[in-house]
Amino acid sequence: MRLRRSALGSTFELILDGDRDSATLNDMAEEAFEEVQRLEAQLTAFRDASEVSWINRSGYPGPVPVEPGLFDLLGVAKWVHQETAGAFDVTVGPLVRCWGFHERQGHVPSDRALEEARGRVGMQHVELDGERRALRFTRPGIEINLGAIGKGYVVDRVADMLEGWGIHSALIQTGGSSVCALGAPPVEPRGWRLGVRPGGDGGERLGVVTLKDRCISTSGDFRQHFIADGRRYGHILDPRSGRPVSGVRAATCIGKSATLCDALSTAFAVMGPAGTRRYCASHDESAVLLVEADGGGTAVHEIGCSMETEDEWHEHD
Amino acid sequence: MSTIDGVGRREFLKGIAAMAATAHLGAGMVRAQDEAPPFRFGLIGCGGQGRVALMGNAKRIPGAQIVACCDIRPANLQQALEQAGEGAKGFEDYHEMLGSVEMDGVIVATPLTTHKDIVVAAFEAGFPVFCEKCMAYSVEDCKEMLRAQMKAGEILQIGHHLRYHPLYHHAKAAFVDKGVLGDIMAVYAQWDRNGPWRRQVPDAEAAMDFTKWGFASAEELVNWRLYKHLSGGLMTELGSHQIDVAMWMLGQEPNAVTAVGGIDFYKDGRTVPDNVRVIYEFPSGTKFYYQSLTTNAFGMFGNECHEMFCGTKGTLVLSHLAPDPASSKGWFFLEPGVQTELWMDAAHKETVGPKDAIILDVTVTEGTPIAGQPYGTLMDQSGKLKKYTYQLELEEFITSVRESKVPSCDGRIGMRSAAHAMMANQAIEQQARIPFDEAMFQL
Repeated sequence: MRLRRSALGSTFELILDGDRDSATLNDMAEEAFEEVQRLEAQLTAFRDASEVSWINRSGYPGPVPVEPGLFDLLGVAKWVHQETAGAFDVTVGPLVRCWGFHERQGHVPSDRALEEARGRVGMQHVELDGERRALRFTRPGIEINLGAIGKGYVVDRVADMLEGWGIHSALIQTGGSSVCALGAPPVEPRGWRLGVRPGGDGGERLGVVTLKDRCISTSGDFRQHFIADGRRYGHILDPRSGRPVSGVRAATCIGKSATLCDALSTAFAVMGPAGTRRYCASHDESAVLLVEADGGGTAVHEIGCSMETEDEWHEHD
Repeated sequence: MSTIDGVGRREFLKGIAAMAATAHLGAGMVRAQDEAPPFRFGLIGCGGQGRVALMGNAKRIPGAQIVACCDIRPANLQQALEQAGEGAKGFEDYHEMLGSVEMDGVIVATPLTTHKDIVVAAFEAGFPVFCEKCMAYSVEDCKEMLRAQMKAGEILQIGHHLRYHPLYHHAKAAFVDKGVLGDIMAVYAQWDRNGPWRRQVPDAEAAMDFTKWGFASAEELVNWRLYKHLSGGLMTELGSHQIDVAMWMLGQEPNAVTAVGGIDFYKDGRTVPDNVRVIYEFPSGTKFYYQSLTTNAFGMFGNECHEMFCGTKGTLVLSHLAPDPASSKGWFFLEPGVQTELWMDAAHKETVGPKDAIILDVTVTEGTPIAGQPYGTLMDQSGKLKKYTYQLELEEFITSVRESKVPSCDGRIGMRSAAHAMMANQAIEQQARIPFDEAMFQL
């Protein structure tokens, strides 16, 4: 059974396999989509009613109580920020706006605008009180945008939900950028075979990976970029310099949690091949594919994993 | 149950998150919570409405604490206790909670048929009660609750939260009551959704026995809204909000109801209609046309639900709530040929469909207070709430308890909205026009 809906700014797709009848699977899918919508309504920074918007309005001086799931998500975001030395940062919103990526109208900002925005970015200004499950911003102007981690979180939550209902074979994905492969399809016990397309749905397929109880997430600037004075500016920003990343075009991360993969794929795109190799050497659970602009073409770095050949690929329904 | 090396994904993330959060942030963070005088809530019913809407918003009120949670579904209870914070006690049986915890007020957010017994028990234990709408399954149940309330001398408030909505206060004060609409002879309202309204039973609960609580199965408990012996379906769960608004705005109560509806699409064992169309008749001759669907969510004013007050001089539209609970908007459309008033020239306008509309701007006046706060300060010009209606109704509850005041949506109002919602269902069943008899409300 395959179902698609619009959500999270792209398409949310569920493929459910199981020994249940189709009406039951359909009910499960419906409820899963309801959960997706509920989570989207909570996590989006683009609706005033969301909990994240609430936090952004009230986090300074704060404190604000935070729903347990969201609190943990923010904790993961803070942990990835620490472990990647600031390459991943959910407070990057003012920089995104400053470069015009917010409205998909990229432009090079003035030095002054850039400095002003940089002053409003930094996960170190977000304090999380684990005892009271509360948050506060330690300076005004800080805001949270979960665009680089939220899709993975929603995928994880739906995976948990399906497992809770006894579903052990499913594929859960948002727009191809965050995927969780639960178990394996009945016809292919080795796992779910997925095309790796750093450019997103419809983009060029670099190869195939087989995933069983693993998640995969991709961040790339193939779709969102602009060219000014002959230079290409992609939408992945390095929170530390305040500037778009150059060189890396996309990063794909494979791991156990879609939340972590979503965050890490963004971090790896910022860190580049050398930084990513350093991270992977000290953390045991990630496999990474990095696509780097290399002269006129692209170079693919496979770190801790390898893709299968194109011939083995077949679309799974 | 999970595939991350035997640890649930939530737990896995929590483990990582714990490494980033500090134990606590010291005096600065503590003080804001501690300065306000405490108000200790107990929550009975920790589902979506109880835990998310009510507890979530109660926690935004300075000084408010959740000291006890009660639910017969273990997963609901566990989630609620996690969210309630340290020290909250958990119960399966509300009698135990009422008998053992010191509380300043009890919130009841359980399936409809259970409201009466729980609320009566809470009054017998001496607690003020905030009970979710719809107040109860029958007028007789409502009356029993009111008798218990009078005996206890405690506050009873019902959760018709639109009574705490700044836009609705503004619409009533600045448009309806001032006669800007002329004579309102028709009101249209709808709450249309597209989906089965059915919830999945978690595997862990599927085989659990809930019969001692009056539910034949876990499925019946989880999907209580779909069964006639447990719920009034669309009319009690959605329609009661809007019949309440219509009565409040018009300042009258219906004297008869005619309705059609049926189980015409979701033939899945449910016993409440999946569509209803209702006509209430008011003493002024005004008709209130109400609709709730589960097969179409077009919502021409941008939300699942809206109310249209159609007067001889103009039409007022209030569009609110779902899917965005903080977002709401109101428009006023002048009838052709009606002389404009001076303020109308200065008002913000936009085109809605083929018509020009004046946008209701709550901020132009401070307005009468909701929960002690002038309504004009509770919303911005674009229609975004600065405080949720759930928070406002609970703030009023706290004040009402402290000052022994009758809340603006008390049990008498709740009883009438519940009665009119249930009578529409009777009209559907009997295929008849049912007149109301004021005598039925006599305690």
